[in-house]
Amino acid sequence: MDVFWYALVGLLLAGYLVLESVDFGVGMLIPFAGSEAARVRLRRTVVPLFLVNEVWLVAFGGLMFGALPLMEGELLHAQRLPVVVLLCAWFLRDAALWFRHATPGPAWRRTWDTVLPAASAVLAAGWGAVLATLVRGMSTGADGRADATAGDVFHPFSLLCAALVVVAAVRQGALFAGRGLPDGDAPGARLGRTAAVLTPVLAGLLLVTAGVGAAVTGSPAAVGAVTALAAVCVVASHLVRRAGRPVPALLLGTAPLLALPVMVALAHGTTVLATRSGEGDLPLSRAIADSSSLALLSVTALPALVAVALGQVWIWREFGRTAPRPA
Amino acid sequence: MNVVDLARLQFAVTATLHFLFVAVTLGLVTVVALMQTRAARTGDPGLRAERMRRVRFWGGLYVVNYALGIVSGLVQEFQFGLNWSGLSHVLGNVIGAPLAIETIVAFFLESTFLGLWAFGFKRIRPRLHLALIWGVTLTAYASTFWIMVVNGFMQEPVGHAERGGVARVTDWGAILTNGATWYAVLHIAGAVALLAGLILAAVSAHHLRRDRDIAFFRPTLRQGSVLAGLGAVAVVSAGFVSLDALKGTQPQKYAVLMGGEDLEGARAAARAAYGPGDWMPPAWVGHASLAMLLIGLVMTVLAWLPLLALRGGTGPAAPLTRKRVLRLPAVLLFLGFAALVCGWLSREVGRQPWMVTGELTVRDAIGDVSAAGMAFSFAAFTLVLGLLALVDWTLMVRYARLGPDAGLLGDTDLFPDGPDGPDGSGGPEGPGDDRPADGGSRNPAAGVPVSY
Repeated sequence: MDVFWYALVGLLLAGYLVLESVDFGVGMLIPFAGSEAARVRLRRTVVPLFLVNEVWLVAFGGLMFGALPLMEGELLHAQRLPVVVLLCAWFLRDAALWFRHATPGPAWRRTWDTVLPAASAVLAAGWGAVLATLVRGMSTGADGRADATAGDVFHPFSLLCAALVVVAAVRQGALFAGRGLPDGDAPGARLGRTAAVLTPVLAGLLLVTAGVGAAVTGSPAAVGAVTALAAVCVVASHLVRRAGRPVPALLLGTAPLLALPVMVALAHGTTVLATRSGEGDLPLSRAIADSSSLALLSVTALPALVAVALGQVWIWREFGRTAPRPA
Repeated sequence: MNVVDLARLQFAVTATLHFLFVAVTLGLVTVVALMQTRAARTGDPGLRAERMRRVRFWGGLYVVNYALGIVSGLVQEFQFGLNWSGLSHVLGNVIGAPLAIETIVAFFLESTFLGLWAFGFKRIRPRLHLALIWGVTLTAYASTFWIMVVNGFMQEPVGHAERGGVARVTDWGAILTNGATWYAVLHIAGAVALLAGLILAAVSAHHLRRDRDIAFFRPTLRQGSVLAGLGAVAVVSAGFVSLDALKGTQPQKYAVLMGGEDLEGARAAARAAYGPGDWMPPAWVGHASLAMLLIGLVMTVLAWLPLLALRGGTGPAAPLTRKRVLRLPAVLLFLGFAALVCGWLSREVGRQPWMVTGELTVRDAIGDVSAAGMAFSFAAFTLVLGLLALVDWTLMVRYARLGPDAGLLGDTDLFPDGPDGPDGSGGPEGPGDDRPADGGSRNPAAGVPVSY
């Protein structure tokens, strides 16, 4: 049962990456929108959804604290600086989406139009780098605990994964914002071109990551196989998009984002926090909460997660489509 | 300043900000849910549309406030792991589960419901839409409850046993029925009713003093004043009950809050129980507590006074004649926020030097963080959150002053005008004749292209 809780925590993180990448991508596309009208439309595609996307991370943090309390403490200890930066970027991104239309002045909007892409880029790149340090295994600090040092966070493999998430997110954002737009629509065509251009870039990045990852991580086969598979999915996503099926294209486009947590799991199994030296490792058996806490979570959190899943399906059906039902 | 001081200061700044916004969220969402219920039960289409117009206006204020509530709440969630990992090492089993339930049952569900509600005025059937705002309300209170389960445990640890330096839960029943939790929940329920009432009254009074939207704001001045008055009585009563309970559970806190009579006795008793050292909270907490108490007592009388302005009117849309008392709610609102912060300080600083009373000191709960690392997170969070809180509060004030015709901060996506429900089954839009002549010029949405 311990693995079930660990997997559930991982699932919430994967859900966050998949869903929020769309928001990150749309945020980063704002500077490339040619007109105020295009920016308004871009923002509008994610505004009803970003709140329900970002809470996946809140649920991830919460369930981790409840089911794997030691993992929460050790992970945040090890990743302290990146987490503080990610949190601040998160607040600013939210503020940019919430506040952009709050007052009519152009300077006000320009400010948030700068904050939004910057914060979105930091979030996407930051998550890529943080997950990369988990795949590769962290350093061991002087106190014998796992520690993601600057060398880990800015390691070439981390930088590659950061770029990977950024490009994958922009591509997802372009696919999402551009879906369902009429053929003659200029901004729509532009988004389509962006997604098309990013496809080979993303596939190439994945192949480089596969190579570098095989060389610098402890589990070359897993890293190589997962990233190669993700590259195939990206190409397939491109093909189905060209065939005029945006939803399967979006789903296949999530593969590079899913690859990161999957690699963490495949590379380290039930070692929930891994260091390269092995000292400071945290095995699942030590991280898991006591049976009484897990029992309480089973009767409260699990039914709630089912309700949330239904609510999320509802909100995506309601607001994920291109245009509201005619009123 | 050492690491512990910085970590405490960081927690105090972020938690105070969070609490200010969350208290308003809790109160306003209840008010909005009740307003929408009333609108839904109204048969006459014109009256119903007018009542839905109130839901949009006050709901808008609620949503702008919610933005900061959620952002500042995120810091709280991650702060335990970032700075206070001693807590998860020793008591992770006890407080982990309630916090997990809070994030999933409450936060996750609440945000989903809120998203559907705020953007769903035109898309979701009115009955379902009403159910959504009640979903938001109930999950918001569930969230409060689970947070207070953790907080109650920190004040009065029950239902657990220590084995090998790690606490394990022995009795969830005791933890969930902890007096330190329930008295506080009731105290907070009173406080949020008081604050929501004061906000209703203060915003309504602002417009009524200027003879604007009289028919729109007259009922909310009355409702707000009554709610604030009842809330004040409830918060003071629950406060006395929980103060009395401290005698048995936190005698040191009680002694300091009561201002010194039995201070030395409490100090000696703590020494006898925990060994040599100073186990008393700082004395200034007593002043914060006294300020809170005085404000609370004053509120039980003054909160009702704005009702006087409504006496002797000649009709629902006629200008009020007794306007002097309309300045009062804004002053009271400011005092209410001050009392809220004082209450938080009394409870949490009064717990010092303990993180968990009698079990874990704040000093031992701190994680292994360098002073530079702590200073960086303190500066970053304070700067970003402080700035955003300022922006958000300014926007709320601006929105409240613009009145019901401004639209939600010019955001045409939120609370779209026009008939509610997917097929316009909510009835026609409210009568347009009571809108101010300059409504268009005050509308910040006027310059926004909306036709995509």
